[in-house]
Parts: sequence; C-alpha cells; structure tokens
Amino acid sequence: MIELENVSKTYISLFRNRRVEALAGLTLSISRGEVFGIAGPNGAGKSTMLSILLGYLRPTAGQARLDGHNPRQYVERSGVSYLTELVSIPPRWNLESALYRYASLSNLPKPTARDRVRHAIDTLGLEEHCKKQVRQLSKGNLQRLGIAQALLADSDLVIFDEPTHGLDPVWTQKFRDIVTELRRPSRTILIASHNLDELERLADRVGILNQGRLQRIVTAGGAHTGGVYRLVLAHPAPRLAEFFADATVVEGRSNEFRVSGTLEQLNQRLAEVMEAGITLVAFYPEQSRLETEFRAAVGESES
Amino acid sequence: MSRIPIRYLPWMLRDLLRTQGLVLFAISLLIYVITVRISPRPPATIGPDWIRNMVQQSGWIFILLCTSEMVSGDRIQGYYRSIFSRPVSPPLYYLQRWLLGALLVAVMAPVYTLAFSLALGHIPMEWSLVGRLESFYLLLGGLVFLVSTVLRADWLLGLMVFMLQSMLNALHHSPQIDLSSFWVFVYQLLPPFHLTGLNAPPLTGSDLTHVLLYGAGLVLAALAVLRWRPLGAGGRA
Repeated sequence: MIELENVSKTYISLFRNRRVEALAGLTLSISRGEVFGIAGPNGAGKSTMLSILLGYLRPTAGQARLDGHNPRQYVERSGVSYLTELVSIPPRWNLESALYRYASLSNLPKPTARDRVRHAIDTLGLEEHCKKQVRQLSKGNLQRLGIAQALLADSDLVIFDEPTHGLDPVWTQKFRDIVTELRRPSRTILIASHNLDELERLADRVGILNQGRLQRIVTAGGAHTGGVYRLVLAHPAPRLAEFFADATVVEGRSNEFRVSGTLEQLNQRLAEVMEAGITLVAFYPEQSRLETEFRAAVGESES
Repeated sequence: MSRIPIRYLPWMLRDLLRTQGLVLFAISLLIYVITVRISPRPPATIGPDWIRNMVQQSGWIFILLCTSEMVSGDRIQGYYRSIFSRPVSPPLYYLQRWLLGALLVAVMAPVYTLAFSLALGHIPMEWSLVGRLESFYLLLGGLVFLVSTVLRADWLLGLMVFMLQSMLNALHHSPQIDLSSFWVFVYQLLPPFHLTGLNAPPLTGSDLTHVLLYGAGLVLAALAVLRWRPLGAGGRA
C-alpha cells in the first residue's frame, strides 16, 4: 500500500542560506491491513514523511508511491482519512457545518453525508458542541472534531498525526477503540505519535525515526525477554535480597524495588518470594519494550 | 470519484456571500446614505453615468476583496491539509472559487442600479458595465489569483501592478513625456488594464483578444502552479 524508496527531503532557506535535512534515504514498505506506528523525537521527520505521503511536499530525492500511484494522484482519486497534527479548521465555522463541509468535499451524497456526520458526532461525543463555532471549542473538543472529520470518508488509507494530543484519558481510551474498529484487511492505518505506550497498544509495527533516518522497525506487542522490572510488595521486606541479589529500593518507597534478569530467572525468583510468604502487589517492566528500543535507537543515532 | 468539488459549491457561495457579498451590500448602503440621505441636496443627475462612476470607483477594491488570499490564506492557515486530503483537485477547487468571485463581480452593477432605482425611481441598467467589469476581473482577479498561489501579499502586489500600469499608461499617452524603451517594454509586459476602463472605447478586435488572452494566461498560469507546486512547498511540514 505505502512504498517509500530512498526518500530524502531537504528544506532550503535561500534568505538565511540554511539547509535542513528532514528525511535522509527513508525506505519503508507498509502493507494493507496493517496498523503502522511512527515514533520519533521532535524534528525527527515524522510530519515531513506524512506530508510527502499526502502529496503536500515533493521529496528532494527518491520516490513515494501509494497503491502504486504518485501520492497526489492517489489522494485526488481515492481520498485519505487524515488527522493533522495541529487541527486547522476555520474558526468561524460551526462544528456541525464543518463536518458537512468536509463530507461534501469527500463527495458523499447528501443522505450518506448526513448518516456519516451523525455517526461521527455520536462516536466522538460532540452532540452538545454541534452549534458551537470552532474557535469556541476547547483543545480536547477540537481534537475530537479533527478525529471526527477524518472518520467521515470510508478510505483505505487512514493517517493520524498525534491523535491523542489534548485528549483526556477517557477519550484516549475511546480513540484506541475507534482504531480497533477501523481495522480491516483492505485498510492501512498510519499513526505518528510521541506516545509510545499508545503505539505499543495499537500498532502491529512501529518505525522509529530520528534525524530523518529510519533507525529500526519494532514489532509491537511482542514477548518481553527480560530487562529491568519494578517489584511492588505489600510491606517492606528486608529478606528480598536473599532472592534478588541485585534488588535496589526505589527512592522514597521502601516496599518498591528494581530487579533485573531474564524472564526465566525472574519467574523462578518470584515463585521463591511467594513461597517465602512475601505478598506481591505488582510486577511490571520499568520501561515498555518499545520505550527500550526507542531509547536505544535514538541514543545510537545521536552518539 | 469526481475531483471537481461541485458538492461544495453551495458552501463556497455561502462563504462568499457572507463576506464579500456583505461588503458589496455595505458599500451600496454607504453610497446611498451619503448621496441620498446625508447630502443636503440629493444629486438630481443620478443616472447610468453616475452608476458607472460608482462602479469604477469601487470596482477594483471589490475585485481585490473577492480574490485576495484565496490560495495563500488556506496555505498559511494550514486549512489546505484537511481540504485536499479528500478526493479534490486543488486547481479545480480554486478555479471554482475564482469563478464564483467573477459571478459576484458580475452582479455588482445590477445591485447598484437596483438599489438606486428603489430609492430614486427607475434608472436604466447599462449592461455593458457587466462585461467591462468582468474583463477587468479577468485581468486583476487573474493576476491576484496567480500571485496568491505563491505569495501571501497577493492583493498588495496586484494593486501595485495595477497602479504601475495605470501610471505608465498615463505617461505613455502624454504628449509631453517620452518614455524610455525600457519603460515602454515594461508597459507592454503588464496587464492591459487601460483597455478595461469603464470610460475606454468598447472592447473589440485585437484589444478584446489581447485582454482575453492575457487574462486566460494568468488564470492558466495559476492553475499550472497549483498543479505542479505542492501546497506545502515553501515551508516546513
């Protein structure tokens, strides 16, 4: 569905005599039916990559293809469901009319447009804000409107750029449900986000970009192989060192410890701890697997 | 799927009427209040000549209002991102918008005539004014459209070119001043606004061809820029 072949993009400022290399030789292939995450620090090239996929920018070198077509040709023929990083909608439009406008731009016949707009309003809980002007909306409601307008058309390519930015935890969770509902074998979903936890939950694979380069692709949700974990006990337990020689107390929390090892070692020691009558409250990886990979990828590229 | 945003036409028209249409209404009202209500002696000579004068005085402002920041506004505010991720062709979208502007400019003279007919009794409509204004729109509106595809200061640049051409035209036709060949070349290069003036002789023959070809060239150039230059070009993503 998405093919990027050795794509580079350099911004040139003639007045300031400056060149910024936003993407450098990016090669990536994303299939239909896949949810693909893009992670990266600020300025990594995520938004540039998305702009190239939508035909808003042309690569300086290399080529991007969507379903075998030039991106602009594909977008003008089929349309893309797209949530921009900063939701930009004319401030005087009211919420409901904004959705009807976008539905008409998506070339939906009137009855279909009406159904889709109602569905988007219901799904995103925007009923009470329908008559408000866009400029009167809070950051969270504006973000929900941005998601709603992206859901109007039934596109085979869905692109979300920082989708949960400004959303509260309830709507962040609902957004995850929306993505789950959007999944379909013929559809590709691309999510660019700083929120690694979100990407780990939603994406099948996550590409880590840094300084315009694809550092690595991580298969999300894969098995943990060990590392540093947090162990929370019901009460302080001085005897813990008998089982975990490397256990260190988390500062200010006498019943919380950092332990490490392979999964097999950790499981064996935990069983011993429980047999010794020590009550466990929680045991979880200190960093998610994606976070570990992200830190390693970004660290590697910067060193 | 169609790439021409026909379904969006009513929304475009609504936006145009609520902004530029409202300005047209406000200008008509203001002229009416000043000349008929405030003036101690309402001009008895209000007729087609007077209407033509009013159209000439306010026509260029209205054309600039109808076309300014048409493309550049969407680019700078980032509105284009949500619009053109849909199956919509940017050249056709903005051509549709430009043509609606032409439609609004076409009703300017009839609106003025109607407004003063209602207030002062029947004034015959001079239909040639509509054609005059449209040829002026083709040149000035076409120029602003073209500039808008690449720069934000589209109306300002359009106005500057219009003023420069008017000035060079006056100098070129003055028997006391001999323009250098450079300035004659510049004059010939600029849009022939003088041919579309409301007091100029009727447009026929080569003058008409010149205006039509020049105007069509400007609009086609704007469409070509929209076709070949990505909308996000010239800034960071």
